[in-house]
Amino acid sequence: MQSIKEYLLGVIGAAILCCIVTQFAGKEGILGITLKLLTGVFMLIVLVAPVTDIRIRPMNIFSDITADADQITSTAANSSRESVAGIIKEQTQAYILDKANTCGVTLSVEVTVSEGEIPEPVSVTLSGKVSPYNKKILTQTIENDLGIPSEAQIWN
Amino acid sequence: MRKLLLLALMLFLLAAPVNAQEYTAPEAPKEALELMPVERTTFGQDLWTVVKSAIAKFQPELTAAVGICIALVTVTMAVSLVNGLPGKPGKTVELVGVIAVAALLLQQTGSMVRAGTETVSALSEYGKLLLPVMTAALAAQGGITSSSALYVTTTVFNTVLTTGISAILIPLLYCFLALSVASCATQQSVITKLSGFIKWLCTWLLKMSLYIFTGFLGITGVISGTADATALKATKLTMSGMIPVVGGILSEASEAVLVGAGVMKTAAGTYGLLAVIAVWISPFLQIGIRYLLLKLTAAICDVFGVKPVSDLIGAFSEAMGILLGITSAICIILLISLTCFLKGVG
Repeated sequence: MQSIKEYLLGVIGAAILCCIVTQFAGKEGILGITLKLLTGVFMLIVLVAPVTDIRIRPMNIFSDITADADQITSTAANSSRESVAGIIKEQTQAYILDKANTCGVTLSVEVTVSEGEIPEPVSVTLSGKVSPYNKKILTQTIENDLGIPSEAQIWN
Repeated sequence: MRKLLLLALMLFLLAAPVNAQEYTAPEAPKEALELMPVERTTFGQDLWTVVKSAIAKFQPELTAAVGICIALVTVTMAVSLVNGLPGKPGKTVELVGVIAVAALLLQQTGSMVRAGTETVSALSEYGKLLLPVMTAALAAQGGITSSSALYVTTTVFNTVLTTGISAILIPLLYCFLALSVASCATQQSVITKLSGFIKWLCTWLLKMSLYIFTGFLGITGVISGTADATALKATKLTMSGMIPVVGGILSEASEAVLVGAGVMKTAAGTYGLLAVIAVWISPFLQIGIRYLLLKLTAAICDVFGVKPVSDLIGAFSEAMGILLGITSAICIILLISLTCFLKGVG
């Protein structure tokens, strides 16, 4: 800001000086015309000289901003996926518990969901006392309704 | 004792954080916060509250601006009167008039330029805090490509324009003022042409940066929006091909997360829009009213027939116009970008 102020004052000072010189010399005659030309050149030098000192540095911001964008979107997408996975886990557990209650069985259920882009229930751990008949019914229900194969169903 | 323990356990469960990402807009800067509505209602009413608060805060500034304009008219009248005296003092009196007008207006213009640059800086900084929130919310809503493209475009333009304003446009504005003073003092046509060129350059640079921004945003918006819409359709298609129970659960879960992210994005976006306007409106009113008053003063001073003086006042009003454009450019970029974020996927 200081340099701008100096520049501004310099231009105003030069303009005043030129004005006084041309006022005294008058507009006509060789002296008048020459002084007008000289003051014009002088004003141009005063105006343009500081501009030549400006140095433009290349900016390498694009790659940094793109990297930031990738990080923000991937974090948000992961967080969103985790939220969906959490809901799927809860809903699937609730579904199995509901089916177990229908059979008159009390169980504790722990569902694991896949790590892929679309989270799906892949395995389940079931704990509690259950008769072989009810176990068979529940195993088939989980396999048919939820797509969890009997091998991925762990009964404790 | 057992009941007490159970109560403590229940309270702990109630206080446990919900496992979901929250997207909230950063708080508006302190000066803007004073203008923001205490309780949020509709966007239109909230905007009106911001405008009303800014106008109420602006009253003393108006009195000061009118005072300077009266002083300018007085100086012009005095120059005109002295010019009419016998002896023809002519150019010297006009020169004194030009110096007096420059002295009266330079300080005011300096403070306006400071206010303008501070606003640009405040808007840019707020944008840098708000844009990641909007990007994350839009990405969570399924617009991964769109949000990334919007973030990159807006941040690049925000950074380039802010740097350009402080490194090129503000020095050019001062240069324009210096040339205008020199042109009115010396009445040399070459300096007048130079000052005209600098004014044209400033407005051209601002216009071009906004044209390029909106054009680029429009093209990338269409391309990335289509990509996101296709990706969402593909996901829905995959879900529909699943076992009905799992597909149903997955569909409901995705919908719940998308709707949640959308609600948070809308809330953050509307707050962000209000905050950006609240940061910008006070300096806009300050500079805008000075621009109009100086235009009016230049027209009044023209009546007295002291052309260099009225031309200089006109030049200062044009400088205010350029400053108005500089201050509004970043605001416009942020408003357009936020609107695109709010529009969402598709």
